[in-house]
Amino acid sequence: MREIKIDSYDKGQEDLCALLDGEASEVQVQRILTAMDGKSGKEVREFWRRYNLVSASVRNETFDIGLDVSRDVIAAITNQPPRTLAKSSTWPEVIVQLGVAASVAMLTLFSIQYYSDNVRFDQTLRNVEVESHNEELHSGPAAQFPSGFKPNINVRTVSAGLIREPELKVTLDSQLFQDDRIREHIDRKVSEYYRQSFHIGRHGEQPFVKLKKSEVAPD
Amino acid sequence: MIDHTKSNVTDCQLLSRAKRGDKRAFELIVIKYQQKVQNSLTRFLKDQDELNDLTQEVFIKAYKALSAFRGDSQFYTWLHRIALNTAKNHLVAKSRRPPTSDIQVSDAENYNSFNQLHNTDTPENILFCEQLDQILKETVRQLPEDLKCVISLRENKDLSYEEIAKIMGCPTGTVRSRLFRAREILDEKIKTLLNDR
Repeated sequence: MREIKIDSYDKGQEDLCALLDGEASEVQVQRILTAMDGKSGKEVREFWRRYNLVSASVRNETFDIGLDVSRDVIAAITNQPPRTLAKSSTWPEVIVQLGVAASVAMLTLFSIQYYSDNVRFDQTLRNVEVESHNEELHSGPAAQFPSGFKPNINVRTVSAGLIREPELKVTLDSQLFQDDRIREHIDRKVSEYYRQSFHIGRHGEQPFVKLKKSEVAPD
Repeated sequence: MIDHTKSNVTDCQLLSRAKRGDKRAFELIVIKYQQKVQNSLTRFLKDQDELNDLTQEVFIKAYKALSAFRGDSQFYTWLHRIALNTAKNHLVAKSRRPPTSDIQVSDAENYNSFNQLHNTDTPENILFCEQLDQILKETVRQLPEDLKCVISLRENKDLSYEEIAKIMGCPTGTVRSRLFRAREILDEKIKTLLNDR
């Protein structure tokens, strides 16, 4: 860029004048800054200082012609870049941030899903009606399955407290199991569970019924 | 109180460059505000050497924290706050009690340097500044009417070139050149006085 001369009525003083008034274009500001590096640098600084001094006087503000710390300040801050508060992220940082965000999102989704399943299971148990039924208790579980549908029931036990011997009939909520055969089958399984819990639970164990996939789908 | 709206435009132009590391732009900021900063500090300190050191320190701190200045307030308001904190910290470090109340920004700008600031300055310097101020004011009074009007509207009313042009019924370019001529006359006076000193 062409260096400006500041001796008389020329662009340099005009630019400084415009800068003082807040009317300088970006080109003018750049011209002034470029001139500060050249031979006219000292003159540019002196003009700027005197213009500000005149401005202070006309505005009735105070001024001191002996004060100039600018050179010392610039010498002190040389090689000290201004600190940046919000540094722009580099692409590896962006990937890590995205990964963390995705992990949190997935964890949240799984948590919600897990929580929903538990809520549904609790709802199912609430819909279970336990009724006394002597007949089923004595007829045994095998007699309760439809023909051709004899599940291989595995029973495992875990700890449980003592319970009173009930006579049980368990009926599941029909809305949750639309297929009558499946619903009936599950009803029986749950009934079996409670019967087992009575017999085994006396020994401090909790039973449960384990079904194979083939048993749930009879055909 | 004068609204330094156009002054803010200048500050923003220079500060945006200073934030990118342009020290020349920051140097222009220092030259522009060093007097005001020192006026803010005179409430806390009287020793001229201490004042100069702290004035430097204020600008160094400001430069380092430039990215924290977002332009929500005037730059000088922000700078004034740094100056007050720097002065208080300095006094605490020296086990001297800081003043109980802060000086306001507007008061700091108009703090009477001839009565307060230059208590520690040399009598010659005080006298010279007073003479200079009187001569400048007299020169403004003696300016041709169109120049006097334009510099008064600009400096005292802080109007833009366009607003001044509307008031005076002339093109913006004419306002620009008249302002330049007025400043040139005043600058010549100062330069002569400084050289004769």
